Amino acid sequence: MAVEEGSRAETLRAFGRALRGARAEAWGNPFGYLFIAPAIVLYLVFNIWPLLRGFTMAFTDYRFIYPDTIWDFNGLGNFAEMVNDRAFWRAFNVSIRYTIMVIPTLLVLAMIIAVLISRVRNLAGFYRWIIYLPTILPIAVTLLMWREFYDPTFGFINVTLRHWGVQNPPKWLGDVKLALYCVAVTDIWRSFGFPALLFIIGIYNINRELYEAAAIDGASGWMQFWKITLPLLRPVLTLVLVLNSNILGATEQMMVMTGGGPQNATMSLGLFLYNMAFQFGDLRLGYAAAIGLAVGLLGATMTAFWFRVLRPKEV
Amino acid sequence: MLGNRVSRRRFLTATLGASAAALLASCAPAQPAPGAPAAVKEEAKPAPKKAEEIHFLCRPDIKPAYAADQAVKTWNETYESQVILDEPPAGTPVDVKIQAAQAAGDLVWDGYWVMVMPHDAISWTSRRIIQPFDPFMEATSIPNADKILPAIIPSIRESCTYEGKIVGMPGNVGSVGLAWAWEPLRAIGLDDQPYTWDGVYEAAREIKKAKPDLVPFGSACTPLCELWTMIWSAQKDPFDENGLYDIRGEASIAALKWLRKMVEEGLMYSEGINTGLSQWLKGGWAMIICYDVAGTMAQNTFGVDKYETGINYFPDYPETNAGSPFWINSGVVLNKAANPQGFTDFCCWWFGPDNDATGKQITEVAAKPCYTYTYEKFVKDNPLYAWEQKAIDLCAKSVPFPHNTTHGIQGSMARPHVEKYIDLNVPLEPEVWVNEAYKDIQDEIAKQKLG
Repeated sequence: MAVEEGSRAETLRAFGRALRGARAEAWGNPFGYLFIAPAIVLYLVFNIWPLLRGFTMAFTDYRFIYPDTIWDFNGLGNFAEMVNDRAFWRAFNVSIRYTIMVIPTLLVLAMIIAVLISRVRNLAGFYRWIIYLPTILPIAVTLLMWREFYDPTFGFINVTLRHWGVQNPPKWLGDVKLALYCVAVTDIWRSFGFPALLFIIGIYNINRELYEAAAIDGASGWMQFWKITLPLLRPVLTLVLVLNSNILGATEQMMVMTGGGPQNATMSLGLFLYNMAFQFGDLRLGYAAAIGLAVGLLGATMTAFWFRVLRPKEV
Repeated sequence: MLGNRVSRRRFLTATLGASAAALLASCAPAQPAPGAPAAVKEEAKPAPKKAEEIHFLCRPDIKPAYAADQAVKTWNETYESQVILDEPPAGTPVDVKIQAAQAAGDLVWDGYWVMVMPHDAISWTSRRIIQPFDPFMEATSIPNADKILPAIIPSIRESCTYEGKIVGMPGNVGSVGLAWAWEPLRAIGLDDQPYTWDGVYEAAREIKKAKPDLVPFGSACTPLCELWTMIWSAQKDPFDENGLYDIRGEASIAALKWLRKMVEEGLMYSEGINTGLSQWLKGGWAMIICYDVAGTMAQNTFGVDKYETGINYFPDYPETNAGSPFWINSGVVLNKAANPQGFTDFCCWWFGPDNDATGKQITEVAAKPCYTYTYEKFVKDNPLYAWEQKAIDLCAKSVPFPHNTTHGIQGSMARPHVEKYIDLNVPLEPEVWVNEAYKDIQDEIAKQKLG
């Protein structure tokens, strides 16, 4: 009996030791948590809290100049208003067109540049540096610089065009048909360096033997790109698309370069909600948060779509 | 080893507890400012007496325009209380920053300069950011402070008064006026601005002939600088029965036709009319209808003989109808300020009749002071500032903006329509235009609580 009890106690102790060991193994050194605690707290305060606050705000009629409205919940009222808001749909249309202009161009350009740089034998580092340079410029500097380029009278582009004999060069940002394209060009120039760099890294990681084998089999350069490079860059492509899924909310480009004009041709959703929250009348933070939530959900849907379409095919 | 002694749950609990405590501690109201009355009361032992502090938050561009640094220096040398000058923190809009500090109970500033009257009055008052000056002006002991209010030009005083109280102490007035480069104007034989719509049109035509490389005319900001201003110039009352800018009236239709004619004849750009100020300052445009401070900026940059500012232009000058739109750069006493009386005292001295340095500086740099005694001392009979006298005389008889929160909405909603109307690719009747624009304005205002 005593032997049995002793054996049971031993078993329990062994179980306890195993459990503690498992805990220690799973959780590691507790000091690690101490070190990451500040980052976690900052993340909670500056990322999670605004997210939750924005989410709850989207269901209120909070108007900043009326502090008492801070918790005026109105259910889905903001979303119903959004559906019937002509200005919202105009801005939505601009944002969709802008997305269609920027994303495919960005991808194709970054891919072409990446493939070209991956093939050069000399000065590849220099070219990588050059293409990444616009990305590290402060966004305001980039946008103001391009705004000056587009200046109808004194801008670099029109001065050059006049020098070449063009009598009436376009007004660029002042032209209702061209303004959105001009902003898109600026945005593409500013941001293509990062995806290009990702593609370059992806290409460098592709086993060269695959290309050699394909070449032996008689595959052309185009076939190699189509059958080897592109499929193997699928994860990078997904990453690039996911990182750019916030483009629907593009704001600062239009704010700095055009202010949404001319004739609202560049009034994007982001700028529209900014105006709603910080410029117009009652400063309707609740409605603006609802628009922001809708934009965020659209971005999330786009992300899910990319994941779905571009997920690796099972062999 | 340590891992076996501290369970993860206990550790995480302790970490979260410590973090929460730190967070709560950081959110706790700050200690009262040193020298504040509450702090003195709580002291067990009498502390050595410190000079009373006045915390003055000042927008950076106002400092040189109003000689704020010099004023603070002089005040601190003259009076026992000490003004501490501070600049708004970067990034966050200052009104949001102040409101957040008030809500958290850690406001350190007593007053702020600049709030734009009357546009910000409702927003800042309803958010309880500011309080009226009146009780503090009545209680001030600054010599000759009683002469300040009577010296404020009446239309300016009306703009700075909300719900019967002075909520903004005026510093200087901004208004819309014609500005020009002298070279093209002299080239067509003018030695003064054109004062009529026809006069501006004729001058633009002549400039186009004499200086074909120049764009003769432009606007700095649509629709304030041209459509609103032309409505002001052509009607006694620029508002309609709903209290909105009367864009459906005859003056508006005539103004739109005038603008379209200017574009059709190549006398102004149809596109990019909002970039006008930079175009003008770079020398690409001859005349511009803009904020009159732009003229002062150009004069200070290029010389008084190169650029000039004037007043609005009218259909039948000298009949000025509602005059010209104007607004006031004002100082405000903050709600929950520790020392509102001290800040008011400082403002009464700063803009009072005995402080000539500030009056002179505002006349020279900011332009168009708000007090009659400043005009008598520095503007009157000085040909250099004759335009300021003319402009303030116009402001004095101009119709002020009403107190509302719809000014920005009306501008933002009308702007794309103005751009569309003067786009020659879009054939559009002005009557159609005004109805479209008015509908957009009304739709947007319907989304707001107050008009």
